Amino acid sequence: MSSLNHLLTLLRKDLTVEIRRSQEILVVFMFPLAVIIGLGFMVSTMYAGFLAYHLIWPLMLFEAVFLTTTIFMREVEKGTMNGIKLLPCSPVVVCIAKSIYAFIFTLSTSIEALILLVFFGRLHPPSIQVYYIVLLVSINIALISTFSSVLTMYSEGKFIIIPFIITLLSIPSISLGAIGLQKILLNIAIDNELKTLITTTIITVLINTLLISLEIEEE
Amino acid sequence: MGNIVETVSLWKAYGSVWALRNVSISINSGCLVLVLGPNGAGKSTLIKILCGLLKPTKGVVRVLGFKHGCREIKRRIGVVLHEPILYGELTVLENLVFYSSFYNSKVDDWVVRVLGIDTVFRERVDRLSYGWRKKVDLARALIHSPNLLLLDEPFSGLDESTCETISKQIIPAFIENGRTVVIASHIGEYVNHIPHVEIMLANGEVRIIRDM
Repeated sequence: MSSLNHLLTLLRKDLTVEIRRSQEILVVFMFPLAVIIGLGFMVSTMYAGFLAYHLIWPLMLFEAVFLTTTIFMREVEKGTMNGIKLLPCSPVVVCIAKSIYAFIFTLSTSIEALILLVFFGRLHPPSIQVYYIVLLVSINIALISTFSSVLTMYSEGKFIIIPFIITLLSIPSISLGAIGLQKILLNIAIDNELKTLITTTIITVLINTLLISLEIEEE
Repeated sequence: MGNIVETVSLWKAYGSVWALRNVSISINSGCLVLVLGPNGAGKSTLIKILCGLLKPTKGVVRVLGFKHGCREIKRRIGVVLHEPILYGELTVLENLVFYSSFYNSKVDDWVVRVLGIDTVFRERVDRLSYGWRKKVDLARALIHSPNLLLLDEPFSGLDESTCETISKQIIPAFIENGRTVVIASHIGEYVNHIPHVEIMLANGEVRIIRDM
């Protein structure tokens, strides 16, 4: 069986497990809706666009914390991490499968938030550049969640540590994303931000793959 | 018969506590090995090192002719740990298909029939009792017909008839095919009818190795 098939099998398993935990999924997808409806009622038209765009970052952080507790941590808590370690497949494949799973969730909630912001947050339909930025930051957040989950899975104080680690590691990509969106609002070109975000993403992919592979094999 | 498992001066420490001390054993193919000892003797640690879940602190470990940590070992061994490694949100069949797909194998009808788990194929694992989960977990370990089967406390939590099924049908059939079974347990009574090698561990040290 090829590595690609291993990857798809792991991904399918993770998505099935997650979908069957329907209450958690409901919370994750309802949270942006609740926040954005709240924003729609509370903020005047003058500031709505500005706030609406930047609301996406705390929503992404919430998503990152949720994902971190599900990716590897739940496998450890349920005892299935040993099963993953016993599989005859590369830790890199496991790492990529988990990162893709995290990316699917981060991107889908971000897109959900953008659509909801148009309806309830008085946001003009976003340009394609906004989607580029959201896509790149989502990849970064997904990788950071995966890495944080691996890093803290055996730690006793993980639930206290996670928000700190995620906030710290997310600062570069979220800052770049926020600057990019602000420039879009002001009709300024975002070529530099996109280039830096792409570079950051590539570096994050490389570092994460290396560190996670080492961490999964170690005990 | 070649050595399936070989450890030379194997040491394992958890922090400052030594779980295994200078363990040197060799296990031939086609035999049953019973690792006995009281709680904390190092039985589970030995199983976890042999299957690659733990790294030895010192010493040499070779399994199926491969160096410790080699991915090829994972392809050829079946492991049952103390706690079942199944996904509660998936059904029994989905769990078996998930694990078997990594070995290019199909779910073995004989194992399913002998263990009687076909009756719970469509049940979610988290709705099964501990005993059923242990049975499904054993089936999971056997689906790819491994050359070496490592079982950590396989009889705990199981009813009398399942223990007999394992000891009188599954293990003998496995050994007859020239494959090896290593059982870590604090009780050995279920396999007394099968010729086996007994390794007694105490405080992480091998005290006795004898043919039974």
